[in-house]
Amino acid sequence: MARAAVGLIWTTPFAVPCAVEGQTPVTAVGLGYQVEAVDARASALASLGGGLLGGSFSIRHPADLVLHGDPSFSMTYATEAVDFTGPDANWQTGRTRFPAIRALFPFGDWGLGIGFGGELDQSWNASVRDSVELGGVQRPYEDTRENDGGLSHIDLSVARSLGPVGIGVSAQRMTGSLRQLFVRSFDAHSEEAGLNGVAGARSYSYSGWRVGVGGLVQIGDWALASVSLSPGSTVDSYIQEGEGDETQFGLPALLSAGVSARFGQLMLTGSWSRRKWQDAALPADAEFSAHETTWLGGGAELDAFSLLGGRVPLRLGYRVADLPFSTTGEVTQERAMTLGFGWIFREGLAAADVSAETGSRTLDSSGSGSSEGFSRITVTFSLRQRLR
Amino acid sequence: MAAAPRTVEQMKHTQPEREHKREREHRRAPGTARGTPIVSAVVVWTAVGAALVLGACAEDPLSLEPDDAPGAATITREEFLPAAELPDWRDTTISGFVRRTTASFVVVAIEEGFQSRTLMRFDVPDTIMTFADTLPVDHFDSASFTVSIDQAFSEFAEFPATFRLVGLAQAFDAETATWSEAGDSAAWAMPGGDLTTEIAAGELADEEGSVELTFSVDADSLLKSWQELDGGPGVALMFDGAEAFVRIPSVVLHIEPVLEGREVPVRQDLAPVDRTFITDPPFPPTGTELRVGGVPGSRAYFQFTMPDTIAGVPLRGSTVNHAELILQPLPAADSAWVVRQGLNVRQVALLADPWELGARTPVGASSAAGVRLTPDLLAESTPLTLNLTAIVANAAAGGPVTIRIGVRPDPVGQELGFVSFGSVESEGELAPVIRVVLSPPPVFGLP
Repeated sequence: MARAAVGLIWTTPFAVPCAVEGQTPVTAVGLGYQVEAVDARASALASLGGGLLGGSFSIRHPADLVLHGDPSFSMTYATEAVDFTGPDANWQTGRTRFPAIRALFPFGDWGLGIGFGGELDQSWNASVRDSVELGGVQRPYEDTRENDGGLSHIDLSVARSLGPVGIGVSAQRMTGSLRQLFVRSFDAHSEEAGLNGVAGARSYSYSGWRVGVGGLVQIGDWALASVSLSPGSTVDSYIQEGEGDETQFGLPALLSAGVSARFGQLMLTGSWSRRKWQDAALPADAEFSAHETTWLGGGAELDAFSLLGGRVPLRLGYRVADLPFSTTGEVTQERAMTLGFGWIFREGLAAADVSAETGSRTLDSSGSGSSEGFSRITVTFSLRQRLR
Repeated sequence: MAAAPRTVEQMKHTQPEREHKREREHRRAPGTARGTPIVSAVVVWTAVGAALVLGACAEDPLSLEPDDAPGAATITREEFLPAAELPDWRDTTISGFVRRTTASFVVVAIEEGFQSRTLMRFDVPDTIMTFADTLPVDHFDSASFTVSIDQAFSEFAEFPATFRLVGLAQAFDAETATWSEAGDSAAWAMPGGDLTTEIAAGELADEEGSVELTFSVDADSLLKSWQELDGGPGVALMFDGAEAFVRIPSVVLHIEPVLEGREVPVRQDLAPVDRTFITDPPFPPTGTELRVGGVPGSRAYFQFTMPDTIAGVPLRGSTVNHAELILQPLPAADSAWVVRQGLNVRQVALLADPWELGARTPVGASSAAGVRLTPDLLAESTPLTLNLTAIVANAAAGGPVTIRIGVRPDPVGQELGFVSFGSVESEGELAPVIRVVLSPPPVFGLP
């Protein structure tokens, strides 16, 4: 456990969000891009982390805490490259997140989990170039539009094992902040002519609570099913800078389930969740539409290889997920092939899991010629302290 | 010496041995670097993670078309506000910041439609203070005048140019004397001054910096009469010849009095105690137009209130990208008062109501950069723009919406000529206009 604490101290500074750049016009819509608090193993299996034999450091399923027999700590890092092809131009951009950081503490039949997970990524930074005619002269300018922040949660989960059954509850403190910035800069000639730019900013902080319950059933060591439910909740936003009123928006209820079964060295898993974002209390003046989203994925893990003294399970999966927000009224779908591997030393005392996802987001069924492809690398480092 | 590469088969055989060795080290030295491979892994992974974080942060923002870009936006717009449409607009000309008696120059001129003479009075001392004593003047050995010429502002039709100093029969009042009046409503018997005899004269051969006028009369007797009469009625300096406009920074009377009981004269240089110049036609009165420059040093003052909304955009909270007051120069009504070389003007803030305090209105900070109104620019009717950006931006930020500014020549009394601008009473495009470029505050959505 002490080593896990050492790891926590060393790695926590890197969990500070960096200046995430460049969501696309697709994912920078509405309340932001929905971030799943999953680790690299779940990501490689196209899973949300629930009902995975061997346990997961994903945060969504509280009952799955009972699958961990040792205190452990994990940190997951994800970096994503996006290739957007529009009708007029192509853009390459990317973003970086820490979707899940988690510490687990089992006590007999009980399990306690403390975690920090992503919820909504609202960071993006876009520049717009245009010109305006002033005094008979065309004055070029560049707008910088920047959103920096997002919504995360601090999770406290408790679970108990009752034979083959496990139950768990979680309380999540929603937290985060967002700073919106707008800067218009005219070109040097215009500035020499006495033309000043424009700058405006607004920032606010988020707070709220969400609870969840979950349960699992394990059949021997070869089959597992897990389900979790979080009712809808409300997030309050408080103005910290600039003009505006305190407001709030809703997060919809979340139903999630996962199953897995092992057949020798092969494990198969499936995952599903649903959220009705259109039922959430969204801002009245929202210029976007919210949708019911379904997350469906499945994958396989083959634990038959080793390398330099560590087990190297190979993973493969495929998932289809709806994005909750769009400006066209149509649901944007994200599809991804996933694959990955783990490198597990000494029965999991130290492990590194890596997943690679490649997929696309269907932008517009009307055929405007826009498309978006993405590639995401997720890495999870985990440490365990063996108690027995 | 490098170890020989091992085959995969060899590695398989040695792997359990290495595991066993690590296990022994772990038991032997728990907590040490060698005995805690997991901690070493933390360091490695942390370094890898840090590298990934640093690499990921070096991304560029997207470059998008305006319609594709998310987020807040605003429309920068340009509006022209005619003075007549602004609430409480007032403009006026305030003069008197320099007078003919205090200007740094006097003028003598003969031009078509314009002439000018300089009137002076010299107070010749009765006594002269020496190192040892103060002694009365016995007589004047010699005397002459030196007239300095400001060639940059002077124009001569031909050389040599003759200057004459003529006595006046009637005393003049320097502050109120005009071409037709000696002052205090006392008319000259002859317009331009009641000239008597020529006192001195001299010729300017070419574009020299000064000309010396030698006495045409007995200097001793004249100077003694000036002693007795405190300068007497005075003298008039005039130009005698073809056309010329001469700007004169100074006129000096050189006298060489011989003191009682002494034989060696003591040279003295005397400046006139009273000095002015009179013109024909007289300095034109200010009309409805605005005037800057000239003598008596006119300034144009403005007061207005910025409207609450400009083209439907609330001023409060908007970004003022640029604001300026545009003044349209008017053609000079009389060529005598045109700006000949150029006029430096500067914008000033007014700290009180000029309609209450007039010329005593205190002024605040001046604009850092002045503007030079050259004859070419004025001939092209190039507008004068005063930058109001900071003032209007302050109003948009909640500051005072009533704006008071002025335009003054800097320094004062640069030229005899002045520039006229259209006022609120001028017609059409000649009236002042405020140009504002503003952007409403960007509207941020949630998020």
